[in-house]
Amino acid sequence: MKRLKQITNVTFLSYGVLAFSPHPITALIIFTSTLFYPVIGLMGLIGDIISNLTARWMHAHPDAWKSGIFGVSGILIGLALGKYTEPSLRMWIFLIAGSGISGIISVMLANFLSKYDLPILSLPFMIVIWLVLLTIGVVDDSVVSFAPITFLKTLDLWLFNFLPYSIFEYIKMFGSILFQDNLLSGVLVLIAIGLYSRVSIIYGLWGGFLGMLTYTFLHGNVDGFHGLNYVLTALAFGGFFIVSNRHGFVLASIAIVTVGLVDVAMTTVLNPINLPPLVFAFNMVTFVFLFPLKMLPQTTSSFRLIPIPLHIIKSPETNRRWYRRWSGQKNNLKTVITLPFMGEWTVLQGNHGEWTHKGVGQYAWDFVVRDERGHQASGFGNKVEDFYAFGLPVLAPAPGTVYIVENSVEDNPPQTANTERNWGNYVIIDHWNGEFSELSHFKQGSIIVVPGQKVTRGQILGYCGNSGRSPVPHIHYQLQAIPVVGSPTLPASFSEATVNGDIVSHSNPNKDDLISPIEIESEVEWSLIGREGEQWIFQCKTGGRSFKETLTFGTDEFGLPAILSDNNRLWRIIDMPNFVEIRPDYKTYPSLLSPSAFLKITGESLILPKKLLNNFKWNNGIVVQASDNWVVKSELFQITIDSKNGILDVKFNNSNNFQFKQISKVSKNK
Amino acid sequence: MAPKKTYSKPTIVRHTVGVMNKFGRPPATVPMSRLSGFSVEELAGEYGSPLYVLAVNELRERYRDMTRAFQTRYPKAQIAYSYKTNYLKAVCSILHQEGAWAEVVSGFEYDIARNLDMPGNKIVFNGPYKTREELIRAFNDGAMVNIDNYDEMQLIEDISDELGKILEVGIRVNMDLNNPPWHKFGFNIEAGHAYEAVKRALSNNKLKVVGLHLHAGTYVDDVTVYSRAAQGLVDFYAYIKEQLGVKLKYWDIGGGYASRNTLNWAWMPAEQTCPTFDQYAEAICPILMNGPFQAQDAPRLFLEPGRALVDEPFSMITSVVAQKRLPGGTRGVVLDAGMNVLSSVQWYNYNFQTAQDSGQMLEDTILFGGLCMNIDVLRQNASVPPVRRGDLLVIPHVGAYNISQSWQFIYLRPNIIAIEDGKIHVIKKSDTRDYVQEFENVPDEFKK
Repeated sequence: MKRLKQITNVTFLSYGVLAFSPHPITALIIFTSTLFYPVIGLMGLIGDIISNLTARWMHAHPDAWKSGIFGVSGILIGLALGKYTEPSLRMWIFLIAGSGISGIISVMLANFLSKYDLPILSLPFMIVIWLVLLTIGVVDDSVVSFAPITFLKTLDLWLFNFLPYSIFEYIKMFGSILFQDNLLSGVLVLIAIGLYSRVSIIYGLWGGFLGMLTYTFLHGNVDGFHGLNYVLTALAFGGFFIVSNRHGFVLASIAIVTVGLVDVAMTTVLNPINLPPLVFAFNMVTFVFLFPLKMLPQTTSSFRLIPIPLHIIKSPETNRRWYRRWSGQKNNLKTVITLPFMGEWTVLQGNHGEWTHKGVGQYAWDFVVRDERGHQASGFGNKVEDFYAFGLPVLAPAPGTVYIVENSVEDNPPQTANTERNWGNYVIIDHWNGEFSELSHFKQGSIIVVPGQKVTRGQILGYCGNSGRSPVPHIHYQLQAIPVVGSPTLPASFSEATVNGDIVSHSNPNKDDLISPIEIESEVEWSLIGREGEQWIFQCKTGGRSFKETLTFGTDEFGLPAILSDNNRLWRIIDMPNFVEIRPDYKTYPSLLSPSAFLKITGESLILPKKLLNNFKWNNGIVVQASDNWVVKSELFQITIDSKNGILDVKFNNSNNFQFKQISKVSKNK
Repeated sequence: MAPKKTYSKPTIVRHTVGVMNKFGRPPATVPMSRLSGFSVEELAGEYGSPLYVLAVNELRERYRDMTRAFQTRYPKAQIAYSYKTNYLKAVCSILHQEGAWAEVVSGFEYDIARNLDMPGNKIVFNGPYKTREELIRAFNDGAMVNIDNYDEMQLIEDISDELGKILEVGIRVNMDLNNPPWHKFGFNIEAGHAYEAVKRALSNNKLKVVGLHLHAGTYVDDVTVYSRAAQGLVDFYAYIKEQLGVKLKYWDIGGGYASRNTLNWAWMPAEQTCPTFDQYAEAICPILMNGPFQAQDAPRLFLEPGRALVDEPFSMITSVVAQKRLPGGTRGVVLDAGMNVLSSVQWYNYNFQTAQDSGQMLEDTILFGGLCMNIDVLRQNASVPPVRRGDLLVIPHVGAYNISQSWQFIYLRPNIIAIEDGKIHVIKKSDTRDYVQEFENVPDEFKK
């Protein structure tokens, strides 16, 4: 029963996906719009069900399957057969076989394209329908052999006479994405899209309009105009696959014009063999325009065109919301990553490495264990067990939920590599902020976490092995924006590590660096977390002005800990296990009218150790115990810290005119 | 004209040399003529015989090997070097230089560690007998004190009153590990004594239990013994955490790791049976990681190796002083080193390698020490090639216990040298009569 409900749900969702409006209600309206000719509508439904079931039978990825993408081609085959063939037994057989095959092709393409985070669109439909049409031949105006619902047909005719031709064609165009040739279908699809997303409807209308113009320009007049490619392209680029912003709008418009070019050209090519170009132009243009964006390493938020990871996509509106949140976090709250192992390891290959860390895979690390003689293995090193790294625990680099696990790839003998299953055994962890960690080359069967399991920092995930493209046992680590194995890497750095003997708060270790987690032995700890409601009031002097500055502990727009001050300044608190980083938000700008001494202190970012230990030295400074508090000394300044009251005062080494002294502290929740 | 020599019939004796053996031990006939790059003969000429020789780089390698093996498997693994095995200041210093902490079992050893500038909070203080003064000093320094018995617990409670503060302590426990019983120390887990001890320690609000100590035995070459010990610690910790709310800052799996020296009663040579540090770590760490804590709050794990670190880096050079035939026809060889400087012959079948090419004719030989004592036998039955008075022998792997247990007896104790990077350092000079008699006194009444 539960299964039946699920299948029903997916069946209808596929209709929504067809118009980029994947919601059960909109899907139902879109389904209704195919019922102008009830038999054709039924054919679409049958195609949908068969295609979805076949995909499930082919072990399509469950999450992808639930989104309905595998039914799209089946629906289109049903609807297209209704439009281009005469009803006959052959047609029904082609429907059933064709939608089954399209289900299989969908799974094949989805598995292949997921590596690039590209959608399958209606490519499976194109492959199958062209084969079918080339086999049985196209019959123009076959629709007349199907009986429409009489009342609707009458209404449609009446409206045709009533409305101006161009308006009628314009609205009808939206039905054409379902191969419907009537006004009412168009209206229903418009309503469905409009209900689902305002951004989409605007883009859809713009796409139709620009498409008409393009076609008229290319063709000389509007005769023979089919709007479906334009509308679909406009919806795809209208905030669905990329973030809707000014640049997205320009890209969408260029795509629409390009679609016109491709479509007219394809019509010319295919006319002699009596084959309709259908949605070829949409598929091709979307792939070509999306591919380069998906291949960008998602380094900075300064990108103007931002592709949305497929697993995030719901609607243009949610995409935008996701992007705001993600880009905000990307600047200010990147995942705090700690080393995924215990003890001292050596970097075999760092970022931009010489062997495999290139191109989109450049921000990755390979780690091995070497002994003090520089050997990776004891004995002859002719079996994986000889290698020190083999069987050592691999840890979660940050808290998160395990997204996917592969645990079945055999370990290679040393000096050989499995290039078929490159990544070997791997774990992907969702860090809940749009970033994912991928750790690979685990020992076969050694992974002890399961998808859906929450993991804490430093929790053992499994044990190091030699599976996949791994000539010697090692750990491969990379951070990425989508949860698909081997997808483009994001720049990352490890918080807190000892690199070649020196403690650093952030490290990006290079080849042959010795790196190990740090451990600070101290009883005295202070923290900026858990101070919500607390206020520190400072007496400040900077630039010849004296003033009071109040720092209040609260939360930022994501509900994460932050420091707020007068004039709406905001600092985010990035909490590492042994350090704390205070980073001003971009909204926190220096102002002549209301200066901020704290902003002057933090600069771009201020990193302080959380554990206070006399003579503790790291790359940015040293902690010294004073009589009853602690002084953090760096090149620029000296910060006095008290474990209970936090920052007491700050002195710049090269300036006597700067004053920053805590004069009182208010605790709201006593 | 000289008298004609007596004719004796030529005989053929079977050489046992060069026979393949599967153990990979170098045959006794291959001379070990160099130590750390120096000629054994020159070392003996310069510093005398017998002579202890420490290969410093080997000591460092042993330490780093063990650290790597444990630290790559447990987030906070710390070696606390077992001082009693060899508390030569230079040896302790080298290990502290590498990062080792100290494990001491008496006030005397504690004093050595403090004298080497080890801060109190890097000293683990074990042992069944600690005096009041020693304990007060240790608590004032912030050392980790592991309680062995109830009398000691009571004493520490008194000290808590005296110092006017709650003292953090560890509890030493023992359990059946399917190994020779080790019940002398601490409180037994199976009998419920350990639980009672923790409960009792917490009951007066004078002590806070922050550590557990479980030592498996000595020369334990079966790693599963440690697995059982680790499981015992995990189970016991989980129980006292649940029942008594104890949160550990450290736990200590003790020492007892073997070295490549064959025991007297062992059937196989130690080269075959001695586990690697990786094997020990693999047996211990994954089990401890199942303990009742999150990875980042793991208690510090103390390891107390002694023998496994210092045994192998030391060798002894000794020379042949005499040869004789025993009544049974067995060959006897007298060496200048005796049990007084090689006390571990009670446990070990040491390997004796000649320092010079002495030919290929191995013969079963009894090796006697140089003491005028019937019991001074270094090896009942060793295969030794023909040696002559003045020939040198090298005994590898003599670093554990021999030096700290050496007796001043009959002969003066020898020099100890350390070699690193081509430099020879004397780390302990041989005894002198003045040194030995320094504190002696002959009252006038006893004089002639």
